[in-house]
Amino acid sequence: MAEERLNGTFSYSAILGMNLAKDALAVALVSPEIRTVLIRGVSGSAKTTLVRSVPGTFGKHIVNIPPNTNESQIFGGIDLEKTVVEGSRHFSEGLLSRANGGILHADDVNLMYRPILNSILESVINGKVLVERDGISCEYSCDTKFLATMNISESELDSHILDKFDICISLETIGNEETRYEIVKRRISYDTDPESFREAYAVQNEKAHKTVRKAKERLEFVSLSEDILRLIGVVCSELGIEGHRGDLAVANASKAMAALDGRDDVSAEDVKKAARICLSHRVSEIPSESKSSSDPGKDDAGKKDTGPSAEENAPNNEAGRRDTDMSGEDRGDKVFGMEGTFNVIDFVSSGNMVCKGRTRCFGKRGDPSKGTRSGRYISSAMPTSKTTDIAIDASLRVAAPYQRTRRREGVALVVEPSDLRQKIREKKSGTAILFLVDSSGSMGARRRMTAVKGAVFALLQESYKNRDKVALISFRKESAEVLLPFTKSVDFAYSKLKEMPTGGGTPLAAAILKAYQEVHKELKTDPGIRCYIILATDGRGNVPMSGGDARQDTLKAASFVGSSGCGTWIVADTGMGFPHTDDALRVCERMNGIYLKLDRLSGDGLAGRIKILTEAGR
Amino acid sequence: MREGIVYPFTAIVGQDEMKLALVLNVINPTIGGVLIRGEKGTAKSTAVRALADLLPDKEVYDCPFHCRPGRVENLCPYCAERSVKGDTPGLVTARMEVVELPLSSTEDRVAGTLDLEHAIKTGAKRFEPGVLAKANGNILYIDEVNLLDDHIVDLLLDSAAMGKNYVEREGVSFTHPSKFILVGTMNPEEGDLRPQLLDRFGMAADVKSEKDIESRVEVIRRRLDFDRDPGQFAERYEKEQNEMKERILSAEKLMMRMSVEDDSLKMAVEASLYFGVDGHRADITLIKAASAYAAFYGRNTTTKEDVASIANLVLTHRMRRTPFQESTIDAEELSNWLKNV
Repeated sequence: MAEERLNGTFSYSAILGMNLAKDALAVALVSPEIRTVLIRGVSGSAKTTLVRSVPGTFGKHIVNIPPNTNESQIFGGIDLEKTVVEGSRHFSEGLLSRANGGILHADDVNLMYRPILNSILESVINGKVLVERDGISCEYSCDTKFLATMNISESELDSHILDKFDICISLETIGNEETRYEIVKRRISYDTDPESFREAYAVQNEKAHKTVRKAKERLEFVSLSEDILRLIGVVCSELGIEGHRGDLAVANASKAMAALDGRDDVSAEDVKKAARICLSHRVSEIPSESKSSSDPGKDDAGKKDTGPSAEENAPNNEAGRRDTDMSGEDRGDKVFGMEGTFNVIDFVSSGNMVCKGRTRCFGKRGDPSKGTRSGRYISSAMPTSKTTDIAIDASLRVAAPYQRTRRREGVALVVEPSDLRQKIREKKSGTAILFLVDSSGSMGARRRMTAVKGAVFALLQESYKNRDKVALISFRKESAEVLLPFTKSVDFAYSKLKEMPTGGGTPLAAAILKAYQEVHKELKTDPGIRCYIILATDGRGNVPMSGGDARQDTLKAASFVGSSGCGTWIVADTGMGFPHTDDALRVCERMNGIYLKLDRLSGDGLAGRIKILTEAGR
Repeated sequence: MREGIVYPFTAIVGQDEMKLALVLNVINPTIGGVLIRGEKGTAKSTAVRALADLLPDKEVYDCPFHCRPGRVENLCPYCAERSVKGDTPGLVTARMEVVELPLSSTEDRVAGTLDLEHAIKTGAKRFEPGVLAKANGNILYIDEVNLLDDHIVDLLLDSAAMGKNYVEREGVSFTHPSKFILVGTMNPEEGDLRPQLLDRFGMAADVKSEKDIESRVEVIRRRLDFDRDPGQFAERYEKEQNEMKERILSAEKLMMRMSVEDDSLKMAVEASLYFGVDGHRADITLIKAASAYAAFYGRNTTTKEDVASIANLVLTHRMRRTPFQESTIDAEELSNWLKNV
């Protein structure tokens, strides 16, 4: 597919159905203030193809950041060869310096180690890289456009990182048959004969380039009137945009839009277009229903006929949009017909999931952990103890300045123990969630079980995205049954959950111990993992362990797991109605667990609260 | 793999879907590989290894990446530099290999890294190629691909889609071609494959153990025969093997002058729209696979029938827009849909 060298890529102008994305790229190329662009989309939506077609068309060079790189490679560090030869520290600039004056590209930025991504964004926004490492302090310029892509089926980015992208575009699936047909046709013809394909589009490419060049020249004459500035302010505050990056991005993008259109005055239409590409990722709450009525009046005319406007588009917050993209319009009954009551759409639109100001990161990377040899090598440090995971490049760099004074006997480099550095690896700390579900007769009240199932299902969906491990134990009649041991296959958990029968006694004590065993096993095989046990019950155990008192047994079992420190217990109390007992609360206290109440039979509310709890630990 | 005798591909009983998918990928390596899903002991690995034996030898440049002679932009930096200077590297004959990526691989070995020995001896940096370099022009085989560590998967995603491996680590900055046929096997019960990686597989074939007693007996018989005397067993299948090789070769030639009927393009688009498949990979892969299928059957025109014949292999693994949809239902839906078209 697309090649890195110029002329080796799919033609920019041959890419179809991406007008919004192309507008955004043009804006970024025109405006010196717009430096960071994020393109979101599903697999195979030509995100990367689009980005890699840019350099050839607009006469820029491109530098790619692969996923397996580390800090010193990106930002720079000591120049090994030169330092060895000259005996004094020399700095070697990183990958970012190569991107100076060109385009910096990274695929799947949501898989990137967050602090590194953050530093890259900072450097690009500031136009310069500051390095303080390897005993060197250095600064170099990095005037570049950062074009990043991410696949929406993977983990989400934090809102504060998203905010650092001036522009963010979500590629929509193209539903038009004719367009898709043409897309396939072009691709096949490109693959058959790339040379003539590119020739066929050369003129159009040159036209696009010329438009950008002209707009760049015009940009300095483009002005923002007081009215337009006010409009931008109104739009941003109406949408509840935090901070001022969004406002500035819209202002700069509108100017570029006007310049691209060959005008010197920014119009409301420009602002509208700019808002579409600059604001959708910054809206962090679901605006109220009255949204459309509070639109700035100036912008009202001609809004409806040009497709979704910024104001209509933007309110889909991250969670909402991701879900819509994943499941499409028609998902409805076939998929989620979980006894017909719980629906994911409700879950999302209820607003429970997104609280303003709370992090929206669904990723599950923990802090870099030292000492294990698995995980991505992101940086190096002085060894804290004896290490076997030596960062060779870093150690060599430490040793480099001393080479002239050290006795080299037949080798080029002498490394002493004090030079050794160890690797810091990013280890994803996994999460394991065990669902311990009371399926006894007392849960039999149908709606109650449905609510619990709904909540578990909603959590399973999150687990799927985060690739958590899940397990499912149900207890009823005489015993607890492991329906599903810990697995990453959320699909299986779902089908087991769906089939789970209800009825019989409540062997709560046995269930608690069973769950303990499973979690214990899991912690042994994967010591770094965080375990959560979600116990959905009314707490009224009525099946004793061995002929004793069921209640006492239950509390004993609860105390035992509470003192074992094995996993975090979350008790979802499903008891309700009158007389209300606090059995579940008692059990929870003994467990040192977290107590939640399933009131008003709302599965989504429960799921939302549990999600917040488990996410706090991620 | 070249040492010793491999169980002949043509001697594998049944599993026609899997065999077809593998052969089509050889005919047209741009299809994007095969994901083989099924239980243990269903000849998944045997088939993949046997496939290599069917492949004709190829002329490649004598470099660590086995560059195929061709346009400069598709060469590795060494070959590119040399051919620009007019000092074209020498050609060697190499057979396509099955390069295995073990689950325990570390990222430096997969992507390649700083040549440590060279650095210590000379103080200079040099790139040491990894598995992705070796896989260029070959088959990259990952057993139990669903159990592969996430950070290794990340490395594969780009190469699998773009055919290039970008390395930026330990002071080495290097790009080389890494175009391979990605073949993975998995047992679905052990966990899902990340949706991103799933989409990179051009095709997916489901394998099941033979239900028919006669076939089961035949499987045992052949395996025992092979184990007793591999050489003799291989001889028995030599004719079939040669026929298959010939067929692949002529299909490869037919691919060069393949024409695609408009109807088949339309059908591919309709199919992926109807089943709500994300992105455009499915549409494109349908056509590529259908072309390979036509070529395999000795035709130089791709028709709707060809698309219908391979739609199952290309679409079923992409039909899961939601995580909890059962894809078996979709398979039925697909065959119904195909009947109606």
